[in-house]
Amino acid sequence: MNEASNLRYKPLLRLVSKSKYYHRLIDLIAQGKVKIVIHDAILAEALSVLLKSEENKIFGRIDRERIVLDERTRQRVLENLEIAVGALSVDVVTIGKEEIDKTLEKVKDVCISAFDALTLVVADEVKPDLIATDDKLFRNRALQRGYEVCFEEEIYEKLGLT
Amino acid sequence: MVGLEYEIEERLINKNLVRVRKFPKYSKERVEEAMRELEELSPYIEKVIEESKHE
Repeated sequence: MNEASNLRYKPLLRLVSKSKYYHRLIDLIAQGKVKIVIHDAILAEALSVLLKSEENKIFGRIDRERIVLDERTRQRVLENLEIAVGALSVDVVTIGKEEIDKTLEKVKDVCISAFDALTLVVADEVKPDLIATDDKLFRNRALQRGYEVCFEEEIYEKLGLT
Repeated sequence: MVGLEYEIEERLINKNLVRVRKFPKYSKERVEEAMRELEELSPYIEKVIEESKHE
């Protein structure tokens, strides 16, 4: 979400690693042109990936059923994640039972991934006036909810960066 | 158990009051150390994400 006050848009950028423009879009974060807002569940997922990566680094394999790292190493990995979140100025939105129920309702009622449903719940919290995404399904969901939507490539123009 | 109890603060994001998690502050040295460790971990992160796609 862009915080610069002189720009028309404060967009929500749905950033996924398979995006064609991923590295260029990541640069927007480094330049302070966009702000990252994630849901609690994404933080939990990031911690899970980091713990499994640490196991892979130390033991050369991953135990799929449990975390085998000792307590000290787990704490260190969590701290590293907290530090990265702070360094990137990520806001981790805490969403309570009501919003999680809404997410489950969306997943149950329509063919939508939990990730997309969570992204829409976060969008409803921060109310962006533009959503940048190349994902056709997510685009339709956002349009149906009344959001203005653009393609990822167009975000540079919208932010006045071209 | 890994401590996961955070304070919650209300922050103005995009003119909306949003509840966000508040993380502890760390020293500059610890931040540099963490970023270095995460950098070293990145090939393993890629591998874990790649493997999870095939599950």
